[in-house]
Amino acid sequence: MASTKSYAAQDATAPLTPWTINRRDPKPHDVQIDIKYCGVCYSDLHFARNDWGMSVYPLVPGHEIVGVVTAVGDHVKKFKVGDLAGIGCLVDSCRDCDNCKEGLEQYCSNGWVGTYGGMEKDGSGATYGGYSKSILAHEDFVLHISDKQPLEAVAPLLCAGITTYSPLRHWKVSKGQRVGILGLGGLGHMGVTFAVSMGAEVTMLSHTAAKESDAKDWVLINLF
Amino acid sequence: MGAHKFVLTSNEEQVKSVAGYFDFILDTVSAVHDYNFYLGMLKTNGNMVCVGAPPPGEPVIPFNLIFQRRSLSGSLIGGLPETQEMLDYGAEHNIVSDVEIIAMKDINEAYERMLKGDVRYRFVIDMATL
Ligand SMILES: [Zn+2]
Ligand SMILES: [Zn+2]
Repeated sequence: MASTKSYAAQDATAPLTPWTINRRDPKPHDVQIDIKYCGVCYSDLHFARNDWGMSVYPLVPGHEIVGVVTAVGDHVKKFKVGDLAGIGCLVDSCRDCDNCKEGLEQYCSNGWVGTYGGMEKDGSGATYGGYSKSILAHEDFVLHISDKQPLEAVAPLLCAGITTYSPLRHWKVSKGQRVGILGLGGLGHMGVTFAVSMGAEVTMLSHTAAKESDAKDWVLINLF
Repeated sequence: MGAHKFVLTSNEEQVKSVAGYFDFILDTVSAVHDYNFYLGMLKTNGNMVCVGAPPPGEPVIPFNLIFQRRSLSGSLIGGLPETQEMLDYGAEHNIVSDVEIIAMKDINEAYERMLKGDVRYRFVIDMATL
């Protein structure tokens, strides 16, 4: 077992404080990552405070993880030491149900394993997320990250990015379609960016007047 | 802003201008809101997809779906192949998040700011600070 520094919530009302994780032992298909940046998702906050009634403590949030590969197991084919790598919201699934076989692990019929607050399928204990120095996962649940983009700005793609990209793709949003994005926060700003890149005519919808000038500044700076 | 625009949903005139207007609405809001209000902005065969998960609020009235054959859908993150596709697509189109870097010790303050909506648009922790 390797110990790694982290920040954890010890219960639903405590602020996050330093804590040491004892990560499980690496297996032949595991990729170990030295974490450089981790995005902060609203789910992190909800889990830390047990807003959804399913948190197990200590809880180390974080599922927008990017970093550098520091070690690979003997059977790992997709990664080598020094590669940039990412981990998103899940670190395992049954890999056997129809959804898993189709690459829809997020709809695994037997339950996927969350990057934090989940239970490892091999019985090795709870999963702890990216508010930490290092993490390991089976290579099939590790993503390749481009070295052409600023690493810190890529991190949120692992949850906020895919959450908005997936429905835009599934329902085939395309050139000339009128797309409304409701809410301009972590998810919304990614949704706007992806929808614009797909050629849609995008309207931002918000009930907050203050968001309008924000949105206009942001759209002007980022999209044109 | 070219073809792209902003609609203030508390402004009646602006809301009227998008009645039956959209092919697709991506709803990222996780506070309670009335889906029926937004379904009215979809055109025939339009689809609204929820990715935010608010607590129960106003019930959805099927009438708002039936008369223009509209859909209300949900979607959860993405699978591994699609997540890799998204990252590759992002690299190709230079798509990144607009982030504010924080130190690990400032995470509790960051949570408070998120609850107030005071973040443009994502906090990212620099792990060198841990
Ligand atoms: Zn998330
Ligand atoms: Zn499965």
